[in-house]
Amino acid sequence: MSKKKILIIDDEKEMVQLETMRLEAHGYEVVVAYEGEAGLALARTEKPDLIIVDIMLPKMDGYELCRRLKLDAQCRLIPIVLVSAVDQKYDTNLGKKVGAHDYFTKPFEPTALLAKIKELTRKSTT
Amino acid sequence: MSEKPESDLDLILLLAHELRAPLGIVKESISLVVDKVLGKTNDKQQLVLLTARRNVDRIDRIIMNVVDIYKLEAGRLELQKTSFDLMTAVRQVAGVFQPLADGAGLQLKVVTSHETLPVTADKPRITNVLSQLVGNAFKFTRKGRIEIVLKRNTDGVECSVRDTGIGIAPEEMPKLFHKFEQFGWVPGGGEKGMGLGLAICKGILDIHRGTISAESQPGEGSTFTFTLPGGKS
Repeated sequence: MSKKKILIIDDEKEMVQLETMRLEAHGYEVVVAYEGEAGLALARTEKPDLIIVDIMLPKMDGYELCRRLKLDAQCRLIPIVLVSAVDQKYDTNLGKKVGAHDYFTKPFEPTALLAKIKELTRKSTT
Repeated sequence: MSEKPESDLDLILLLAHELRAPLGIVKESISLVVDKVLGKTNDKQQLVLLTARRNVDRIDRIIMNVVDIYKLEAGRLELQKTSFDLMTAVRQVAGVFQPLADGAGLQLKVVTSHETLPVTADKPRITNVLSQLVGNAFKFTRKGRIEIVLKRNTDGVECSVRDTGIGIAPEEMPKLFHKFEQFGWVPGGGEKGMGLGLAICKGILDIHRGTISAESQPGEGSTFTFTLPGGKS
């Protein structure tokens, strides 16, 4: 069975590096972009099984990026998890409107995030 | 969040945001090693890293407590209310504290005649209030028992945390829910903290339109009781 691929779009480079280590240790392949446009391009070329998007990105915010991914013929079926810092209020309605499947507040419990990733990537293959 | 802070609260929020990002990175770095993602560790390494992680959590709690108290005072703490069963929340909190009770040789009991107690409230916040009260009870109780008593009253639900601990001196009672006040701390009694826990509990219950109060007999124990409105079955 080939490895599931996760795309992380987040500008917190050090945190992304750590998340990558954890996901790789759990058997995922990880690709990373540090801003929205690059993330959008990677989503098209890499065809990940799931995308993790930080809502506070430079230039294009996470909600807008999510909306654009959902409008893209090649990416629209890929599940998206939005993540927000604990002191930012996650806008549940906006998240739903732009098509996010779930959201997490940082700092997240790694086991909870891994369980969610497993659940959503399983769904994406059926 | 890069605007210039215009009030104390804005400054605190900015500071909290700036501190918590690197703190999260420190915590995840430690966790990667503790969780053995990067390879095996020995028992002493685990002990050291778990101590480090516990203290990262402690810094994080201090930051969040300061944020909460200033948000409460500025009327800017927003609740996320949902309907949930208070009984389940209480049993979960009791479950978390059970190992501590076993280790200290204390009895921990949930006392109630109800099967469920539905309430509409901010579940994580109310769970924090419960944890704070039960945690305090453990801090100040060396022998005997800690009971969480749940009942319905005419306006809603009532939850008491009753201990057989050292109790509170009468002159300390009026300051109990004031911020930056500390009571009965003894060396080795655990985290000293900043004296914000009970002030936050009161603030959280106030914005729920609930109440919190305390009774105590020095040398015999204390009872902290909070109420939440509504909650018909």
